[in-house]
Amino acid sequence: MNLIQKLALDVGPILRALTRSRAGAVLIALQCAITLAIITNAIFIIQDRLSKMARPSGVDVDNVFSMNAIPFAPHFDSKASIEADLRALRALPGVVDAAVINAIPLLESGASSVYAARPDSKANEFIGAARYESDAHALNTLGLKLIAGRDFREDEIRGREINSQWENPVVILSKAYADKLFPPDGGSAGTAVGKTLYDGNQTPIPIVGIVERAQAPWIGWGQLEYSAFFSNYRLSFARYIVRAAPGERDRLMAEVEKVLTSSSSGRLIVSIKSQTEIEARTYGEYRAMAVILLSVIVLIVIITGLGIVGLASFNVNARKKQIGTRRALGAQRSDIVRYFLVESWLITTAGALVGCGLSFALSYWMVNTFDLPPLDWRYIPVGVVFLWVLGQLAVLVPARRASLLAPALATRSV
Amino acid sequence: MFAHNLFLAWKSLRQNPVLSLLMIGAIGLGIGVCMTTLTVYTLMSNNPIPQKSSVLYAVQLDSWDPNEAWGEPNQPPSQLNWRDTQALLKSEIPQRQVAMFRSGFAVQEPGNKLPAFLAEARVTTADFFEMFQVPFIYGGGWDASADHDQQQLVVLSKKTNDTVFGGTNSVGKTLKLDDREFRVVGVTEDWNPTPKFYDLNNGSFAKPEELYVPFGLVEPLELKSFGNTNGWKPEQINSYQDFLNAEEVWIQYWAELPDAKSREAYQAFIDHYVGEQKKLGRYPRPLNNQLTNVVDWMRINEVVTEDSKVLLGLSFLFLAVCLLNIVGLLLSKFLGKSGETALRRALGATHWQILQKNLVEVGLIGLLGGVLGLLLAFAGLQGVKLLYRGYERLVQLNGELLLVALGIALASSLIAGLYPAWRAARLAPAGLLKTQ
Repeated sequence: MNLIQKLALDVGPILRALTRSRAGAVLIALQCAITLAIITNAIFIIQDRLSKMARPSGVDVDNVFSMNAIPFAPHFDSKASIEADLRALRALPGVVDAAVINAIPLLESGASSVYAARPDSKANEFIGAARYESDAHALNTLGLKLIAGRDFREDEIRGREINSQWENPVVILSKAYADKLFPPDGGSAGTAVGKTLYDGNQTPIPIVGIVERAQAPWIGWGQLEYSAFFSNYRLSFARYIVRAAPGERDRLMAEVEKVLTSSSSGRLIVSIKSQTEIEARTYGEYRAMAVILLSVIVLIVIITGLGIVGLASFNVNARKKQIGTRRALGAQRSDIVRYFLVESWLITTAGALVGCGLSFALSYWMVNTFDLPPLDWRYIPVGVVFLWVLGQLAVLVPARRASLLAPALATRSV
Repeated sequence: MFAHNLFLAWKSLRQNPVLSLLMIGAIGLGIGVCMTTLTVYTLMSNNPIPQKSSVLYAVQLDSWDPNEAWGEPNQPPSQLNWRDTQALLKSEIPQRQVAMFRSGFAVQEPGNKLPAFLAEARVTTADFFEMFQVPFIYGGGWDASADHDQQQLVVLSKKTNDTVFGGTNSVGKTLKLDDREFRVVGVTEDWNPTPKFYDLNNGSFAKPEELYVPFGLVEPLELKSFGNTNGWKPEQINSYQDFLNAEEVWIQYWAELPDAKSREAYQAFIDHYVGEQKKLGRYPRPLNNQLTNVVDWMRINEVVTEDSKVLLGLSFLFLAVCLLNIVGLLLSKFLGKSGETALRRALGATHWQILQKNLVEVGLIGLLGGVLGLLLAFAGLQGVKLLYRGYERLVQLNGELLLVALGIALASSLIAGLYPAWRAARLAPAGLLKTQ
């Protein structure tokens, strides 16, 4: 007899035995079903979060840090102060470049506006993008990759107060935003360079360059990949960004505070933060959800596994006489082990069948109640295989113990 | 009898320590996970001002884009613009009302001994303190006249007062905000409404501001919002005055309307105001002004995060798995002891007595599991604090939740134990005794 035939012969008696003492098996199967539903949906959510966290912001994360410069003294000369601060920052050894900007990718606060490709665009043709107000050093400092056109020239840079007029800005777009406004019909990425962007007042703004990627400050925003850099920077609510040479960032972050605080008293330098910290904070809730769900999965696997071990141990104890009889009648140890393995497989499979339905039901509830994507069906077969493996592993030890029972047991009464 | 049953239960648990620990562990884990998520959920949905939550209304005017609602489904913007705020403040219908926003100042103490530091500030009209029942250590809020007379007054939080004045009564003293002299009129007690219902724009669990200044100073000092400013209309904004006249929204507005009559009157008032503005060519959207009480306001603004609801749902499924597990283990345990049960029955114990004995054992397991669950929930909440920023104040176990945890543990274990205990009690003694 080959293994398949043996297995087939096992199934009949196992099923008959199961129908005689249903309760334990049904309980385990139900556990398996709910476990499958939780695992598939949890892994799906974890995967969703991890893939979102893996999206690059475009910034040289490891080496960039930034801080706020807040002028408070009345009649303070912000422009002179910003220029002096930037000169001081760029002069520090270990600094690759420094710039002034209003916000940075993934900061969670910033500005956005709507723009269009034509002056006569209708209201619904305007598309929102993160609005970065910066200088000629910003691209280099953030480490953004220019893929078409050019960077700002120094003579295009102006400082302006909030709520004051823009001074002849030019603009650099992220590729995703440029492609949205000026769909490339089979041409190269640079088709938007040389064209004009229009704001809501129909002000024309020349497009001079395109960067490969620069995310908006808000991860929950639908237009995360849409951003536009303008060659006017803000005099109040300015943010200094600094790019350090590899390995120099932490030393510089400590030094910068002293250098800038001692140089001027009319403005405050606050919240010096590395880009690593900023991005980790912004994705904090995603990471937390992934960690919590992962813990839940680990715990539930342990609980269900122990449940299977418990039931199998009970069955071994209850069936000592029968096992002894089988052994006395010539059954091999492997036959006994196989019996328990097949039994466990049947129970987990029954549970998995119910679990498939439960998984989709749970997903259906979450999709309808919350803003979550529906469960990808491919997670189900993976979960079922996992459940089978769990069931087999959990039953292995009790099954081995059963196989070691002496055939003589059959003849004893206690 | 109960004491004897308890003694038997304890003995039985010790007879089979691995199985007992497994059951207690399973209940404990289920309760621990559920209590962790339930604690976060209940604290998120906490009513921060229960005594007044039904008379305080967030005011929304739909001044938004004709082509697109501010939020789905057809939600007006959560803040107001300057012009409408000025018009609304003239109404005498609300018992109290506030217009306010988050800002910040560089604070210098009078002796200039400390370096200047940035303090978060709330720029608000005078009613704020009474309306939201802010407790004071020293002094109080400012008089409504300060909102018109542009007086440079300030209310400090306890923390700011500790930093600048060493915790002494600073009422009447001055300090510098953005290099201008402000006179202290009050110092608040530690006040942490959780969630921060009156301004949900910058995190529902953000800390309250560190100082408060009169709204009347907005125009003369050209104060700027540190919170969100949102616009939809292309407007030329080339000066602070342009900004004040623009459709950009940045001011939170609340009205205290003590009864249905005043509520209706106020709704009529804002609807009439918007109707008048429509004649001037503003307000292109259909009339859609909202007055929303505190509880509904927190619901609309999704203070309880979706993640927390998902986790709550999943954790109760988790508890279900734990309970199924325990049913199985109890069944094994009681049926495994059928010999002993049979002996008791043969010696005259009734079904009911056996059932009682088994249920006491189940209850003991539930209680021990509940205690373990509380310890695990405590650990779980420490983990949650580490994982989420801003949850430090939010996440703490209180007595009520402790009772809930023990209650769930006991109830669920008894439910789980009912079937096994009954099955075991029902066994006929004769057959079992024979094999002995």
